[in-house]
Amino acid sequence: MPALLVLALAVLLSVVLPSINGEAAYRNELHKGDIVELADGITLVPSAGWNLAAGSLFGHTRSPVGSTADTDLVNGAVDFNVQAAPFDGTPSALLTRVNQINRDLHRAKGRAAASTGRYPVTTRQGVVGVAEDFVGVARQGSIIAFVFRPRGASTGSTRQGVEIVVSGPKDEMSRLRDDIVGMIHSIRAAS
Amino acid sequence: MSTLAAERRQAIEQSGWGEDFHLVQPHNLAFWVYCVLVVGGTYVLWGQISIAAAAFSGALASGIISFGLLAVAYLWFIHYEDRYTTVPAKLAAAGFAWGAVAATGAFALLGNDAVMNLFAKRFGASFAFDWGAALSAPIDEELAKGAGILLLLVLAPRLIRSPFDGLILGAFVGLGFQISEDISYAWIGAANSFGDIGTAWQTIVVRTLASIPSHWMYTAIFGAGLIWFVGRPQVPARRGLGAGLMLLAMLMHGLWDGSAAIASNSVFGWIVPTTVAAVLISVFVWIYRTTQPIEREWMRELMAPEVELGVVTPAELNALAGTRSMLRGYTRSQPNPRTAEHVIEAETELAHQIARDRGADTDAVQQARAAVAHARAG
Repeated sequence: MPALLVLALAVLLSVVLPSINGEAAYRNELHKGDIVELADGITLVPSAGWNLAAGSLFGHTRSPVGSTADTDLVNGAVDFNVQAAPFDGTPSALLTRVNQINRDLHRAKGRAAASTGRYPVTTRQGVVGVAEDFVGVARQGSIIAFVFRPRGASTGSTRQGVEIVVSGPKDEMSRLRDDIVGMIHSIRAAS
Repeated sequence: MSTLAAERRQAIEQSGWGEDFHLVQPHNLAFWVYCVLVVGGTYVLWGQISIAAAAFSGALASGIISFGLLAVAYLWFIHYEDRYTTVPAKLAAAGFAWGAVAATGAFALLGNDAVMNLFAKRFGASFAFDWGAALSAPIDEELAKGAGILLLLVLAPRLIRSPFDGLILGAFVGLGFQISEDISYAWIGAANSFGDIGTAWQTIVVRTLASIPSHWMYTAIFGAGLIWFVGRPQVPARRGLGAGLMLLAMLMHGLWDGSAAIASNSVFGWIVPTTVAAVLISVFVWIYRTTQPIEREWMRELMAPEVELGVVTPAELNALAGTRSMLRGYTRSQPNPRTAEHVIEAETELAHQIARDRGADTDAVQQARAAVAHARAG
């Protein structure tokens, strides 16, 4: 009897709950005026109708958001993931490092994705980042890297790297293109 | 002498002292459930480890080496505190493996992730950001680790005879979980910082400093509570106390995980973690002191015939079956404290040998008695 109880608990946690989660839908769509805090001093204005799967809405959380944080926005099958962490280098160096990590991971998983050349991306605040597009078997998308200098940061060691990975099926990416571009351009450091 | 010998046999019988632990029990469903969940957990963890090894090998290696050393330190400490009818090494290893592999891979990783996502979907990401870990991990993880203690209780009912055994076995299970989680946090820290190994080292330092009020202690308290809840032949069930301790372990775990949200931007952010640490340590010490007497009594009954034989002195028996402070007080009061320590060590080994040989006067027991005489001679 205890053994069956343990087995039932394992099935509940590793099979039933993930299955319920897979079926569950988001009930808290983002609205106009919401602001997402990507990291301490760095924000993004999300498009209305998207869902915040992980991260922090500015002014809505009690826990402080640190300098290293992960944010995930979703809309249908399109995923907009932002990773922020201290980074002492250029956007191009950040993208090179991210690509190296991705190559290592793809090699381990036996997958590959073809990338385009790099091109500049500029936020409305005037911060210039660098991007490249990729095409995989079922998904396509872009990787964009920025390096921000948040409020009060006077030395290179307090600069914040921000990596955005947007991916999804081709048709949905096309449909949400304006939202995606708008959200990327909205990223800003507090000044 | 015959009364003492009968009491010795009874102590061995009641305590299960000296019995071997055999994990492989094909006739026992608990063995198969243990195996399935350890294999399943290994499979899940292997997926993570292969990612870490491919892209964050430096951080992974740093975590394994650093937390491996931390594990050795804690294993020594738990074994040091388990000085009477010690939990057999194979049982401790089975508990550690359950915590490190099954409780993490087959329960907590997938369960926590699902619950956190469900919180985000139902109540919003900000709620999940603040309270997700505090509301999911204490339940998922404490039940996952406690499930291991329950399985091992079914596999070794004669070895887990008191809440003290639950405390010690729980500490081994919790330590396995803690070390496994620590290693994953080390490389995930690097992964979240674009592969910066410096972040992995920050994680290693912080989690080492915060390692006392952590999983090994939560699960030790949960384990003692579980044994009190179900009861043992010599320890009647105390369901209220048992359930209370299991809930306390979950509550302290939840408060620790939720401390950032509770404190918010307050300058008193240190209060919650400090309180949790103080409560955990106090409860751990209370359980340790409350559950020791039966273990000490078994030691006394096991070694009393040796006093009659003149192998052990009455004062040494009091030290052997006493608290650690009584033991220290005894050795320090002797003309040659180092010799007294060696004698006590030899007598402890004699106790283990007598228990292993079920109280029989074997050659090995005779040799252990000779070792006591040798230690006494200096």
